[in-house]
Amino acid sequence: MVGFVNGMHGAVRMLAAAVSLAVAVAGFGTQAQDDRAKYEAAKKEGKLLLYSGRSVEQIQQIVQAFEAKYPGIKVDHFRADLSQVIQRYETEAGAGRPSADVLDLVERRSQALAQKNLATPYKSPLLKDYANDLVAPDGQWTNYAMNLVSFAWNTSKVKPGEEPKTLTDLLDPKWQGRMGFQDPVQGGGSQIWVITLAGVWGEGPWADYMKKLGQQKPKYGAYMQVQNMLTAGEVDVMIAAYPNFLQPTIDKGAPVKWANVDPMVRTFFSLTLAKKPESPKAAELFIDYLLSKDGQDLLAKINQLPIREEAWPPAYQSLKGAKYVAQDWRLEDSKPDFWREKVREYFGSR
Amino acid sequence: MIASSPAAPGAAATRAAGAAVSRIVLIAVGGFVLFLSLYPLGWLLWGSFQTAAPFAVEKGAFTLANYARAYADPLLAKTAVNTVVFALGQMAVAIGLGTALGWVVMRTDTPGRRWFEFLILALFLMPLILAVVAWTMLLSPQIGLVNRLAMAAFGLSSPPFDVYSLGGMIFVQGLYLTPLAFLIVGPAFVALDAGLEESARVSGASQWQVFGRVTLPLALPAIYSAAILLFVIGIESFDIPQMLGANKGLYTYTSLIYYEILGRFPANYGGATALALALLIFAFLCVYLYRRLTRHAERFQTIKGKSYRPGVIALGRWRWALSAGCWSFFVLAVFLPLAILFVGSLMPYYGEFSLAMVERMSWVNYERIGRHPTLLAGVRNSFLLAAVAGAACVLIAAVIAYIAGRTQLKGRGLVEGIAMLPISFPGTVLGVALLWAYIGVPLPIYGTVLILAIAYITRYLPIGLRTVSGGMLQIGSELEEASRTAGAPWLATFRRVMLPLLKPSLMAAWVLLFMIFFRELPMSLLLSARGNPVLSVVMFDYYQSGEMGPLAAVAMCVLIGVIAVVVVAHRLIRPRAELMH
Repeated sequence: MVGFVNGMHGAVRMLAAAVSLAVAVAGFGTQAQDDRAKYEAAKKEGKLLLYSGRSVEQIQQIVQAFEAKYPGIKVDHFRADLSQVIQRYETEAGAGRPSADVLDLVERRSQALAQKNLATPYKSPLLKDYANDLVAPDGQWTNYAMNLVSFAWNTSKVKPGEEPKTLTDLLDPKWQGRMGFQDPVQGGGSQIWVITLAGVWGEGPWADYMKKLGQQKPKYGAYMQVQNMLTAGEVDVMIAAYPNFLQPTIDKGAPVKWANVDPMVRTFFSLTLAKKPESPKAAELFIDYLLSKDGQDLLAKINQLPIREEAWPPAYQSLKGAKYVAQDWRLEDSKPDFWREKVREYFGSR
Repeated sequence: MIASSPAAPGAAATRAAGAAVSRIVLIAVGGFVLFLSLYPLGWLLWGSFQTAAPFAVEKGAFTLANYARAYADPLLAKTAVNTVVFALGQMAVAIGLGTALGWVVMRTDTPGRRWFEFLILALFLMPLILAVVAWTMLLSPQIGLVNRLAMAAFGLSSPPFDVYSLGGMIFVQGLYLTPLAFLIVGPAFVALDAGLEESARVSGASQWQVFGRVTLPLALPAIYSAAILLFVIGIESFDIPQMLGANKGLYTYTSLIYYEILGRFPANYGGATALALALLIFAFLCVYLYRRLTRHAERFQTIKGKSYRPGVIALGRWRWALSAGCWSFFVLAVFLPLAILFVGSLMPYYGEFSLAMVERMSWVNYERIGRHPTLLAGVRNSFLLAAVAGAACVLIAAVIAYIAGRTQLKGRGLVEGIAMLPISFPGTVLGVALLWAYIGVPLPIYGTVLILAIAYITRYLPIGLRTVSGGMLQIGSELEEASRTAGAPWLATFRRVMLPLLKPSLMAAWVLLFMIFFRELPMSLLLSARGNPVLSVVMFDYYQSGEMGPLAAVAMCVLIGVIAVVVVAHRLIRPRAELMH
């Protein structure tokens, strides 16, 4: 809209502005009515089933806040590893069993469900506040928060001044055997990080870097396992660490700092409206809620990185304007076996 | 139940009817067990030849590619060696410790033996995840307390222990499987003919010679039973190898399978099931081996038609040495990790033990678990499931053990063998198979706690079976024959002769299964009902969320609660038990 208006002459521009204002005001009115109607409908459904891969505490806080804002809708949830969430949902859907109304996933998983036609397209009215193509690329899912991939170090093990500052610093021989890495062979955010960087750096330099990184003999494990190794000082540096996962423990006193690294790989947390939800209106309301100002503020309060950057907590201010690189699906999908082999070659033989 | 009638005019007819009833019961239970085991395995087999998982959106087609790809993996050979070394090692540790403790507790006058019996149960209740965390805090080369103390005390330049090694994996797993060996082997030391030991002693054998030449050989069926079970468990176990070995590349066979399912996106169920099916052949081999080892069953029959309770062995001065040895074992295996766990439950985040950390400690994790919406429901569900499904499993196991050991029914060995199969699969794979098997069944099974009961019984029947059948082998057939000659129908014989004689084994099996069910995780994770969880899943949620503090707090509460229950139960049961002796 803005780009379109810019190219026009003054009078026309003013008229257009007046019209769009009127539309916005009118829209606001109907929007409020729509909201109320949706809430009433959702209240009739009375319940919502959420599948999520988030942490126990985060789910509790999100659910509590939603139930407080919309009394009369009882939220039940199923929490597991994302792979298991997907597995359960797909099997239940395939067997025609009742399943989730809404799934709290990451964009890559949401996309896979959409490809399998296991999602109901939904474009929230709140999308008007966002860049549409970023939040709901084609309505099959809705992104609502970011995940950034950087690295981090334990400040009681690494003296100030000695910490790594760039990704190249991680290849310094002094870190050999002292780093932790979410096992990229097992998929997950670290694998996305590895593959995405191939698109940024080009395959030659990338292969060189990753081979050397593997030769640093990092300790591998599940993401939270490695993060705990970092806070406990079992490893001094964590490769592919998420600031938004580390910050809650830092707030509790963990001696950890994360880097504002260039480039920072960005992925999204996303919501998928299930194919055959038992409570479709409550599911829509839940998606609307997490996009709303209240929902985004809540996410910030629990140390997430909501889409709306203005809501970010102070700890993340330095990340504003950082150089993000989006997860590169086209690259991943172009030759999945190739990447799997490469990741295994660099990080699998230990 | 059929009342036992005296051998009078109608005896022949009664006996014929009894034989018919026995056949029907045996065939029904045997058939049920075959179904429990083969039905999900059938799904697994089918899935391994499909290009897409059952119930997936993609249409599956027949393929052999899953096998070709899975078995061409260059990691496979190295992994197989690791796996076998690990399985044998942890088996040896558990059998050694379990047998020694079994003899000390069941047969000797070692001071504190009542406590030991109780502490062994506490050992078994410790969730493996937390055991690993505790041992990491003790033996990690970087932060391990024991390593740090040892280095300071002896001026060492490098940490003496490394929990992240094959040795570390074997040690921790062996330690926490000791109760299993104890519960299977222990009863065998009580259920033997005291006369045999006495003859040896009268002939001039020393205390230790009696143990080595008479007592131990008589307990062999139970030891074989435990060894085979522990070996199979070692092959399919996942948690400890994953947490202690995988970060250094010490993979086991199960980790490879796991990576096929959860380690790749999208999950490759075909590859995982193809890999898992090799374990089937393996389990068959183990059962075959066991049947060969115990072929001449009558050699082990020590409970015959006369008084058999063996006496308590007075060890003299040795008893103090043994007591000290046992206590140090329990300090190491139970108290040290418990202390670490308690400290961990007070930490605001998972960190190194330090003075700065002491200042940050608080009860906040306990407050947080108090707010958990389904924790209490989880405890209740786990408790009920463990008690009821455990009892059902013991009963089924007793019947199957009887079929295999005491009857001439055709295919009896096959039933026993097939019942053993499900335990040879990793829980994750069997969980998937059970999901496929029952999700489409139009009965209230999937999504209720019933599917968990089915899952637990399916997978752990072999443990019940091994525990009971070791005990059954020791019971001479003459008692049963006497009962039958007196005209008692089969059911009455089973109920009045076999079951009472088997009681130590049955109780041991029930306690064992209770504890296994209470902490079962991988299948529960896949199958537990939404909003109606079990405790292990609630705890695992915390683990996966990286929230070790609340996790340790839950574990502390559960352990204290269980210990309280056991103490009370002990008080209530003890007087009666002593009257019976």
